[in-house]
Amino acid sequence: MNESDIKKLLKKSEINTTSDFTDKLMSKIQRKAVYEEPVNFWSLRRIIMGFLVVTLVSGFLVYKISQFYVSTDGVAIPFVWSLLLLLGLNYLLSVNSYKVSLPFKN
Amino acid sequence: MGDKIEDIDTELIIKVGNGDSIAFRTLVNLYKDKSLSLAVSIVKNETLAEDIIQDVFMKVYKNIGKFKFKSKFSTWLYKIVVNSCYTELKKKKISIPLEENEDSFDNISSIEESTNNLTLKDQKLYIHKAMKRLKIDEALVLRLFYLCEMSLKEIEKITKFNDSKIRVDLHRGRKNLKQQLKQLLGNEINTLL
Repeated sequence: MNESDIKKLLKKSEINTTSDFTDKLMSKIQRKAVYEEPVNFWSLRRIIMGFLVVTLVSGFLVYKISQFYVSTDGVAIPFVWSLLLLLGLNYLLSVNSYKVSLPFKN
Repeated sequence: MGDKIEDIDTELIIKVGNGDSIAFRTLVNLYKDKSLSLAVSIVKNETLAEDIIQDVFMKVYKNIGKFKFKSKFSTWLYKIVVNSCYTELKKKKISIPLEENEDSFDNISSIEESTNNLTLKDQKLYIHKAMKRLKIDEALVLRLFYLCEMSLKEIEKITKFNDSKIRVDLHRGRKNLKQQLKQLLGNEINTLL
């Protein structure tokens, strides 16, 4: 038995997987992808933006900085609050609709 | 030929990295049988080996982004296969007696009955049976060298065996395989070729 005979023999030693091997594997991967969504942390840009918004809101609330920008006896404050609230809500809704529109990666 | 395979692998890996599941399917179909054969060389049990290979491909899918094309994809994959099998072997401290593990060969145990016309399926079963009787390292090195067509350097990377051990295992593996086949088939060993 020479080298090429051994090679021929060993080529026949390949073992085949069961017929549903790939399907089983793909469904396992899909299941894992659905149940184990990766944790996404906020980006630095988002943290900075959030920090500015919180600073602004708490400035209005606690330190009454509004008096430097809008007149204290005017009707501007409720408008500013409503605007901030609506902008925040709009941001959340757009983030949500963007996430829903993402294609499933598997 | 080898370069062509590498090109196909590279293309598929990039596609898998971009979330292409069909490309991953193709990659799995290309390597599943060879990976399973290697795993059986180590754990000597097909069911367990198939479970390990499933886990290996899941790891591959998850970590494909970490593959930097510094080696062939097959080398990277087989390294994961070999490591996972040895880990499993240690974890479960498997010591399956050979006879217990050979039930799938019951139907071919009577070689005297029909040796002249061995079908390819029967030939494969005899070779498989003989391979299972080899030592783990010998069977692994033989399959890596002849079935997966890995070079000695690549086998070194995959198994972490040194060059002389690989050469010795190859030599002993060849000798023992012949011996085992002779035991199983007698003078009909040539019907396998």
